[in-house]
Amino acid sequence: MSQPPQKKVVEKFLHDPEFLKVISRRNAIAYSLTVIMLFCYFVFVLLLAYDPALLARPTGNSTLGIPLGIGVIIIACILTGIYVFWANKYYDAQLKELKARLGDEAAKEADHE
Amino acid sequence: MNTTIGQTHTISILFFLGFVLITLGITYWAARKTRTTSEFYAADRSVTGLQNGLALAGDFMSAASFLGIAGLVATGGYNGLIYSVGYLVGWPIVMFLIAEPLRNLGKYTFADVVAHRLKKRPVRAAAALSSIITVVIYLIAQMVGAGSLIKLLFGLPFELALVGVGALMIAYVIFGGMLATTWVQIIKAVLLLGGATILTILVLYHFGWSYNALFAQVIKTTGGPKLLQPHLSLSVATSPLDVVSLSLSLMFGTAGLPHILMRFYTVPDAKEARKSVFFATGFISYFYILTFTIGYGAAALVAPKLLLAVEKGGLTSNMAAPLLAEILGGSPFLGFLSAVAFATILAVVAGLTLAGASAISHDLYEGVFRKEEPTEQSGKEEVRVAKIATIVLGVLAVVLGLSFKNVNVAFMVGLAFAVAASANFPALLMSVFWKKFTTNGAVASIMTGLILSVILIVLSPTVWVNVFQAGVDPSLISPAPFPMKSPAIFSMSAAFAVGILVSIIKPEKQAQENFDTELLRTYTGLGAE
Repeated sequence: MSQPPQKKVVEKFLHDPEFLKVISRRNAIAYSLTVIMLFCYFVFVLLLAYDPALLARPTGNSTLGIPLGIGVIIIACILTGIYVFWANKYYDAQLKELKARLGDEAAKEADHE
Repeated sequence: MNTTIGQTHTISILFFLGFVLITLGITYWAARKTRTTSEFYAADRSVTGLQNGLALAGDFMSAASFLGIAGLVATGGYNGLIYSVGYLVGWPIVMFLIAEPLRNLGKYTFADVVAHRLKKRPVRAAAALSSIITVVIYLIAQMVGAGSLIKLLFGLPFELALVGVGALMIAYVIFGGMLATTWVQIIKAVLLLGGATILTILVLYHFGWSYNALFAQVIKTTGGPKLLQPHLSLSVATSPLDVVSLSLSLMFGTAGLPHILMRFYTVPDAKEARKSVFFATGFISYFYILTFTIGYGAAALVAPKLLLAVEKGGLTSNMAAPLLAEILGGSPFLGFLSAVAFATILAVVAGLTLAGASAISHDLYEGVFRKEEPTEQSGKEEVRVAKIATIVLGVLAVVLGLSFKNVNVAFMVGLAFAVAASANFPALLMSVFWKKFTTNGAVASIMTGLILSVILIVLSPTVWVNVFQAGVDPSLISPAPFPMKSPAIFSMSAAFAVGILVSIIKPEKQAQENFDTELLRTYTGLGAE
C-alpha cells in the first residue's frame, strides 16, 4: 500500500501541461458519453410519460416502443464498451507514462534538497 | 393444464443441495484467506475484472428481478421493459462518473469516498446510517421474496425457509467474508444466466426463432395488443411526472447501492474496475433481454387464468417464469430453475449482509467510535465487530422478513432504489466533483435525501392508501397527501440543493485545500489502497 502523495508531487502533476491535457481529454470523453446516455434515456422516458401513443404504434406484430426500449439497453452497452476500450488502451498507458516521468522528476528534486 | 409448482421435487432438492455443498466448500477454502480487514471486506483486492463483473451482475440479478420482471412482462407487458431499461442505464453512469474515483479514493465502503477530504466522523456517521437503511430495506424485500418463493416452489413453510436462508448466508459471510461471497455470486450468476438462456431458447424454438410469431401468439392468447403497448398503469406510476421520477430513481439508485459500490474494492485497480462494469453491463443487458423474452413467452403460452391463480402474498405474478419452464421443459427443468432461484436469493442476501456489516464495523465502529490510530490489533478487532454485525443483521433480516411477510416485494426494491438515489448518490457525486463541498453540506445532503424519500413514500398512495387503509371501504378512503409513487424527482433534487446551499453558506477551508491531493488520486490512483 502506497503513501498518499505529498504536496510537492501533487503540485508537480497539477501544473504539468501534459497531465492536464490527458485528464481533460478523459473528462471530455466521459462527460460526453454521460450526456449521450442521459439524452437517449430521457428521450425514451419522456416519450413514455407524455406520448405513449407514439410508442404504441404497431410495427409488424410488435410496437415501436419495444425496439426503442431494447435499443436504449444496447446503446448503454455500446457506450460503456467505447469508454472501457479507450480508457484501458490509451488513457491508462498515458497515465502510466506520466506517473513514471513526473514521479522520477519529483524524486530527483527531492534528492537535490 | 395442471402444475406441480408447490410440490417438493426430488430434482430441485438435489440441485439445491449440490449448490449448498459446493458453496460451503468454497467458504471453507475462503475462510483460511479471510483474516485481515482487507481480506474480509475486499477479498484482498484479488478479484479480476471478469470475475467481479459476474459478481456485480450476480448482486444485481436478484430473484426479484428474474421472477419479478418476467412476471411483470407476462402480466403487465411493456411496463416490465420500463424497469429493465431503467435498472440498466445506471451502469454507464457508474462507469463514467463513479467507478474510478470510487476505486482510487476508497478503502472498503462508499462512505470512505464521501468522507475522503471532509471531517471523517460526522460524514461517516451519516453515510453509515443511510447505507444501513438502504441495505435493510433491500434485505427485507429479498427475505420476503425468498420465503414466499421457497414456499411456492418447494412447498416448505415460510418460517423454515427464512431461517434456512438466514443461517446459510451468515455462514458464508462470517467464515468466508468477501471472497466466499464473491464466488457464491459468480456461481449463482452463471447458473442463472444459463437457466434463463435455456428457457429463452425453448421459447424461441417453440416459435420457430421468430419474435414476430411470439408476439402474434401473445396478441392471440391475451386477446389484443395491449401487452405490447406502453400504457400508464397505476401499479407503476400515477402521472407522467411520476414516470420521470421513477426513471430517475432507477437510473441513479444503482450508483448509490452500498452492496454494489462495495464490489469495486475487490479488484486491484481502476483498470479492472472499468472492466468489471463493462462485463456487468453486458451480462445484465443480456439477462434483461432474456427475461423480456421469457415474460412474453409466458404471456403467450401460460393460460392467463393460471398466471393469476398462483399469485400470492404481494408476489404479483412471480410464477410466470417457473410455469413457463414447466410447460416447455417439464418438471425436471422446473426443479432446476427453482433451485437456481433459491441460490439467487442466498447469494444476494449474503452480499447485502456483508455491505450492511461493513457499514457498521468499518464506518461506525472504526470510523466514528474508535479514537486511536488503526493498528494490526485494531484490524482484528474490526473484523470481529463485522462478524458480530453479520450475525445481528442476519437475525434481524429473518425477523423483519417474518414481520413484513405481506409487503409487496417490488415496492420494497423500488424504495431501496429511491433511498439510494436520494441519500447516497448526490453526496457521493458532489464530494468527488465539487471542490467547495463541505462536511456540513455532505451530512445535510444525506439526511435530506434519506428523510425526504422515506417521508414522501409513507405519504404516497402505496403506503398511505394500500397499507394504512387496507380493507377500508373505497368511499371512505382518504387520498394520499403525496400523489406520486416515486419520490426521487423531489428527494434527489432536494438532496443536491441542500448540499449545495449549506456548502456555500459556510465554506470549509481544509476541505478545499485537500481537493487537489484528492483530485490527483482520483485520476491516477496515487496513494490508493
